[in-house]
Amino acid sequence: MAKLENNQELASKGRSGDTMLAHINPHEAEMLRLMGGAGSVNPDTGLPEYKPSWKRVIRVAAVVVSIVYPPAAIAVGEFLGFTGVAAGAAGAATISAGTVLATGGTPEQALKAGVASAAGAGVGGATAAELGAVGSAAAGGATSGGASVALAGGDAQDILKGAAKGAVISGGAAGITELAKAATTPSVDYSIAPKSQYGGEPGIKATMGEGTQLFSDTQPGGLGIQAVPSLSGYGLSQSTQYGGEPGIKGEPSTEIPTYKSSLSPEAQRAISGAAGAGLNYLLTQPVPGAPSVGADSGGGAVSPAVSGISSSGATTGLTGARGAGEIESKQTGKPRQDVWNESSLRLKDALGV
Amino acid sequence: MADANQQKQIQEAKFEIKNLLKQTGQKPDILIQLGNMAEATLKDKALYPSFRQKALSTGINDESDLPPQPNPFTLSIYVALGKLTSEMAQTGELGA
Repeated sequence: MAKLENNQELASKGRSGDTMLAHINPHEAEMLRLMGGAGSVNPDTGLPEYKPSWKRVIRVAAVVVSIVYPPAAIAVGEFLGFTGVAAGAAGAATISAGTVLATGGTPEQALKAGVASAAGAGVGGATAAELGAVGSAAAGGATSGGASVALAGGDAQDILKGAAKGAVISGGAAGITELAKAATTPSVDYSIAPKSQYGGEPGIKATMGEGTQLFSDTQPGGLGIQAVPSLSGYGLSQSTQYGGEPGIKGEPSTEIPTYKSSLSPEAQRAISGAAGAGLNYLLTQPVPGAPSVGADSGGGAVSPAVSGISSSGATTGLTGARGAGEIESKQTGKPRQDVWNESSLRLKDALGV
Repeated sequence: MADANQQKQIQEAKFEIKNLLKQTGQKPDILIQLGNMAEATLKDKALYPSFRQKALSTGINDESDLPPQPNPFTLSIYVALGKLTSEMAQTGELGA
C-alpha cells in the first residue's frame, strides 16, 4: 500500500482544531461517536472527522429556545408569513415540533406537540377568522419545524403528511380548549335557530366557506357537532337540538328546531375552527378518482397560501372506503341509510370519530 | 423566570456550549455574532445567505446542518445559543 506522502498537508486541512490523521477501526470510530464525535466528513479531504457533534448542541439548545428567547414563537411565525394570532400559533408549532424531533421524538410526537402548542398559543382571544387560520398555521408551522430535522435524516414525506393532519388536530384541540373554558365558566343559555346561528353568522361563513354547511339547516343531522369529542358533556341539549338524537343519530328531520346551548359563543367559534381546519385538511388529500384540488397531494402540506380554509374543489369521493348508507349507529351497530351528507362524513373522518 | 427544570435545561445547554467552544477552539464571540445574525435573519430572510456563509466558515457545523433554504427553527436555535453564550461571557462562566 502506498504511503501517504502528503499526510502533513492532509492533516492541515482538518477543521475546528483537527490536526492529526489516524488509522482507526470501526469499533474505535464507534467509540468516538459515543463520546460525542459527529462522524461527519471533512469536505476537503473526504475523511471522517470526530469533532464535537453540532447536533448534540442543537439538541440541548432547541429545548431552551423559548426560555432564553421569549419572542421566538412570534418571530418564527412571522418569518413563515403569518401575522397576529396565527403567527404565534405557527411559531409555537414550529418550535415545539422541531424540538421534539431534534430530541429524538417521532414525527407523530412532534406533530402532536406542534399542534398542541399552536392551539394553546392561538386560541385565547382569537376571532372566528383567526381560529379558522390556526389549524393551517399549525400545519404550516409543524411542517417547517419538521422539515429542518427531516433534513437530518427524518422522513420528510411522512412529516409533511403528518403536518397536514396537524391542521385537523389543531382545530380539534382549539375546540376542546374552548370547550374546557366553557365548562369552567358560567354558561349563558340562549335560544337560537340553527340557521341563524351558524348559517348566518358573518365571519364564520366568510372564513370557513364550505364548513358552514356543516351547521346549516339543510343538514338536520348536525354531524359537525357529533364529531367533536366530549361535546355532549358540555351542555348541548337533547332531542330538540338537531331533531332526533342530536349529533349522534343524525336522523333526517324536517323540523328546524330551536335549541338551547350552554356553550359560549367562543366555544362555538372554536368548534367552527375545528371544522374549518378539518375541511382544509381534507380538501388537500388525494382522493382516488377525484379531481385534484388545492395543495400538493403527495405531501399534503398546508401552507399559508391555503390557510383561508378553501371550500373550492372536490367534494366527492373522500369517503370512498365506505359506501353510501354504511355508517353504523354507535347505539345499535345497524346500518343507516342516507343520514348524512358528504361534509359530515369528511369531518367525521377527519376527527377520527 | 425559569423554573427548576428549565434552569437544568439551560445549564445543560451551557455545558454543551462550553464543550463545543473548548474542543473546537472557537471564541465565544463567534456564537454571539451568529446569534445576532440569526435574529436579524428571522426579521429579514434576505440576510440568510450571509448568515449561512458565516456559520459554515466556522467549521462547527456543515452544510447538512444549514441547508440553502432558511429554516426559522434552526435560526431560533442560533439565537438561543448566542444569548446563552453572551450570558456566560458576561457572568464569567466561560473562564478567563
